[in-house]
This record gives sequence, structure tokens and C-alpha cells, in this order.
Amino acid sequence: MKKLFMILLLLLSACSANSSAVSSEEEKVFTDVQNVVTVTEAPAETAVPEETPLPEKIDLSSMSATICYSTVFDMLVDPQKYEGMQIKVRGPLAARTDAEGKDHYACIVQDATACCAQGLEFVLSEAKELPELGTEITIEGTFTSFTENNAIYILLKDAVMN
Amino acid sequence: MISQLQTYLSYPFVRYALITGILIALCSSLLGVTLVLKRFSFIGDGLSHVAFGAIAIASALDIRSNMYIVLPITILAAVLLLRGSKQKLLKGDAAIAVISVSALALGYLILNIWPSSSNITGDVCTTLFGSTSILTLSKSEVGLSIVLSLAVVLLYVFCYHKIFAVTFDEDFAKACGTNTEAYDTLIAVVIAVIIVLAMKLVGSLLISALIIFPALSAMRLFKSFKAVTVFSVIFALVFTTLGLLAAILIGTPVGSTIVAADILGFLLCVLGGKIL
Amino acid sequence: MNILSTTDLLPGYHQAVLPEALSFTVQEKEYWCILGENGAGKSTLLKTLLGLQRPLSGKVTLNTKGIGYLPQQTPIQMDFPASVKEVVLSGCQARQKGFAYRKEEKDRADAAIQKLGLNDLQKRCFRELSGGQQQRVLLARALCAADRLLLVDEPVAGLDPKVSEELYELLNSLHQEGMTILMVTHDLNALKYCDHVLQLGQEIFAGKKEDYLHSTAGQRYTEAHV
Repeated sequence: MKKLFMILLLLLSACSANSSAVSSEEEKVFTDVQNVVTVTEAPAETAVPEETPLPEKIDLSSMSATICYSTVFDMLVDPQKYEGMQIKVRGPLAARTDAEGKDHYACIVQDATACCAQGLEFVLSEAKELPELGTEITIEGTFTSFTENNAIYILLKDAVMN
Repeated sequence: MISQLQTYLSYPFVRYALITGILIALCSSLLGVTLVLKRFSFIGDGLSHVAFGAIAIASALDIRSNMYIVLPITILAAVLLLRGSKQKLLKGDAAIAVISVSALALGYLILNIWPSSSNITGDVCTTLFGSTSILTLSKSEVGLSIVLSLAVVLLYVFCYHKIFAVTFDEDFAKACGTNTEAYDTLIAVVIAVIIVLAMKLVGSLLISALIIFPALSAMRLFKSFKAVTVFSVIFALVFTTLGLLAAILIGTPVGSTIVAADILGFLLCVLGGKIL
Repeated sequence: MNILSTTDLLPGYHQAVLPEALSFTVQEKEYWCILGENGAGKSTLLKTLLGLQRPLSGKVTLNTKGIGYLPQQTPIQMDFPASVKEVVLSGCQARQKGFAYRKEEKDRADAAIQKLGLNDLQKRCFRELSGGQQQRVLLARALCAADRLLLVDEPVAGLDPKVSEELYELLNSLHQEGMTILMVTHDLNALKYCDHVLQLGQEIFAGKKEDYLHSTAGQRYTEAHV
């Protein structure tokens, strides 16, 4: 009985330690991003330091399929957190044409079993000849999101393809 | 690899996945001992299929945090199935099979007729096999999972002696005046909660592993109920963490990787049991 | 003092297991053997007396709080990982207050273990013991629950004669110390120890052993089972 209690106490203390660590991480990321975003944001309440720190870079191409997919999923769920970050992603090229006839291009990110896929749309900074659909490409761009018709869209702007 | 892990751990959803996953595995292993001993190992499968059906309904109604629908339905099913099965054992067995298969089939049908996303196969696959579901929980799901898991653990600790008594000899317990029906219902409700939570970790089809492997492994090595229970918990903690970390680092589906780790642990315990 | 009595009791699940309602009384410190053919309703009666099963009609009156029960073993127990100490301690579940056993309950379990010579086996796993040892453990558990009344169901089923004899001696010594015992049994050897008999079947007999052995029912039964 005592043993079970000790284990329980250990767990409870571990959990409370973790949750406080989580909130401070999130605050840190948020303040970094606030310092970087320029667009139509209201001026940040907190004072902007003299040297603006570099935006965080996330290299999806070096991550395991499991984390890569989960991160992209998180980007969809909480795009504010990633606004302005440099994202590098690698995957097959996909395309779709919207109702107005405009072409959209995306890099496909799959989970480990390849049964779930997310497309990470990108817009190249310079118009370039795109390879055949399905070719593995590497894209580096700045993350941004916008709302249109009540749906949130994410994309990598000013993207560079390798 | 350590630095890669550190990078991953900087993401909140990875930390949440670890905490929630470990807590879920803990609860499953605790109840697993009772379930295995009462020969109810199959209940995990049956109830998880009912939960799948409930998820399909929630999905058709376009509800993202579906736990609030899935939990009550699964709890109801658990109480009906576990309490009913005692009186006429054969009937209970067939009842579980019928409900389980119907829920699975109808659930899949509902998802196809009223799809709420463009990738039904992916959704079904994730629900059945849990490739990344633990890493894509919503904030409220994380909170609910943690609260429920802790509640289960506390409940188990408080009712430990009665759970032992009711599992070892239900008739004797009843003769002593213990309200065995109340404990049976309690166990049924707790199992339902655990299964709904565990679906997020390993998917419907693999839940039984989380319940069975820790208990079976412990029983190979230990002779008292207390030792078996404690070791089940430690086994679940160790091999779930191992499986989860491996899936994250190597890039394999979470559910099957955790179960693979469990299988490894089980084999080690079988070997250990033969040597010692 | 009247410790247990039944009034027009008709035990059964969907149909009655006895040909007629049963009314009998057990006084304190008596030792009853409950005899009968297979299917005569012995175990059903025992379960009804314990409150495990509702009778079709009639009632059971008990004048004691703690009843010790030594049931037949279940298949689950063949495989169960539990130490002897844990099994015996579970006999105190009715007395348990709060979520842990207190010193009183632990002492009671220790006393029962001592009494039945199980000291050396305390930490052993229940499933690894011999049939006779397991019965002693379950008897110790029953003692923890019992105040003055012990209900025993086929205690020597599957045990060899020597071990059976040892178990009967143990039960007998408990009786000598003041325990009231009701024992369902197939084994006529048990008649040696009891002082009252309840025979179930087409003819029901409830009374003193001497009367039973001289009755037609008694003679028919004993002749058939010698």
C-alpha cells in the first residue's frame, strides 16, 4: 500500500513540474514571435528589445515522420504559435486548382503509416519551373496563416525550392 | 539523438503526449490485472469497437473533442455488458461479439456516408491503430485525460483491498456483505474510461495489449497480488515510454511501436520467469 | 441460543430445489452435516443461507454478524497470483474501515494463520500449494470473517483420505472451541464429527444425529453410500 502511495506522489509531483514548464515555454515562443511579425499586427504591448532575435527555424525535413506530421497538425490547430517562423520541409510535390482557376502548390507531409497526409502549401518568392508532380522537393519559407470563408489556411511564403 | 530528443521535447504537444500516454498506460495496467484474472481480457476489444462507433457518430456531427460523447456511450455499454454477462455467461459472450462487430461496421458506414473530413481512411486508420493520435490531442482532451487517469489511479488505491477481494472470490466477498455489484459496476465504468483514453494512445484494435501485457508479464515473475500490481505499473511505465520515444525518434506509428515494446517486455519476463 | 433458523424456506433459482419448504433451527455450538444426493440442493441451500441467492419464498434469520464461509474453489483461483497472507487477510474485508487494514485486522489474520499451522507458508503463492494446504488457507480466511458461525461446502472434495482426516480434525477442534458449524458434504466419514444432520432429497430430515441414524431416511442413505 505504501509503495503505491509513493509512486502516486512521485507521479503527481512530476506532473505538476511538467505543466508549469509547459506554460513558460509557450510564453517564451509567443514573445519571440511577437517581436518579429510586422504585418497588420497592433504594436506589441511589451517593449521590443533593441536587437530583434532571429525567428525560430523548424526543420521538418530532419524530423521523424511521426513528429513531422504532428507538428504540421499542430500548425493547423494553432497557427499563431508558428507565425513568422522559418520552416524547412521535404516531401513530394502536389498541386490543385481552385474554383477561380488558380494553381496552388504544396509539399506533402505523411505520417508514419502513410495513411494520413497533410499538404503544406507554399508560394515561391520567385517564379520558377516546377518539377513533375510527385517529385521529392525541399522547401524553405516563412510560415503564415490567413482566414478565408471561415477556414484557416496556412502556407509558406517567400519560399525557396532546392 | 539526445539533441534531437531535446528539440522534440521543446514542443508542448510532445510533452503532453508523454504525460498523457504514461498516465493512460498506468491506468490500463492497474485494471489489467483484475481483468486478466477475471478472464475478461476480451472486453477491451468489444468496448473499443463500441467507442469507435461513438467516435463515428461524433464525427458525423462534426464534433472535434468527441470524448464528451464517446465516454458516456462506452460507459453505458460497459455496464450493460459486464453486468449482464455474469448471469448467463454464454449469452454475455455472444452479446459482446454482436455489439462489438455492429458498432465497428455501422461506425465505418456512418463515417463514409457523412464524412466530416476528406480523409476517411486516414481518420479510421488513426482511430483503429493510433499512429499519431496521442500527439494531436486538443488542450481540453489532454486536461480531461490527465484528470480521468489520476482519478482512476486514486480510486484504485483507495479500493485496492476490495478489488482484490472481489477479484479473488466474488462469492466469499458477497457472503461477507461486500457490495460486489457496486464494485462490478465501478470496475465496468473505470474500464470504459480507460478504453476511451487508451484509444488515443494505441488505437482501438491494440488496446487489449495495454491491458494484458503488463499483467501477464508480472504474473510470470511474481507471486503476490501486490507485487504483480506494482510490477504491472512499472512495466507499463517503462515500455510505454520506450515505445513512445522510439516512435517519435524513428518515425514509426505510435500505437504499434508501443505494443511492440510491450511484446518485447513480455518475452523478457517469460524468459526471466523460466530462469529464476 | 438460536444462531440460525429458516422459516418455510424454499431455495431455488427458477424452480425449487427442495420438494417442500424447509424450517429448521441451529443452536449455538452445534455441528451440522448437510447430506444429500447430487442435485438435492445442498449448495443452493448454503448459498441461500449466506444471502448469495434469494429464495423463492420463506426467510432466513441469523443471530450473528460475522459468518465464515469456506466455499468450493473456483477455476480463477487455480491461477491466481496471491500470497497466503493476502488471501487470509481478505477474510477481514467486512471489518475493514477506510482503505487499509488496521492492526486489529492484521492481528486477526495472523492468529488464524497461526491456528491453522500456516506460519511457514505465509509468503508462498496460493496456487503453488497442495489441495490440503489451500483448504487450510481458505479455512483461515473463513475464520477471519467468522464470529461464531462457519458454513463449509464440501471441504474434502478431491483430497486424499489422510489430508481429509486432518481437515476434519481441524474443524472438530474449532467446534470444540465453541464454533457452530454447518458442513455440506458427500463424505459419510464426516458423520463421525457432527451432532446434527440435515438431509435433503425426496425425504428431508433435520435433527439429532442419533435420531437420523435410526430413521428410515438415515438408514437408506447410509446404506446406499457405504
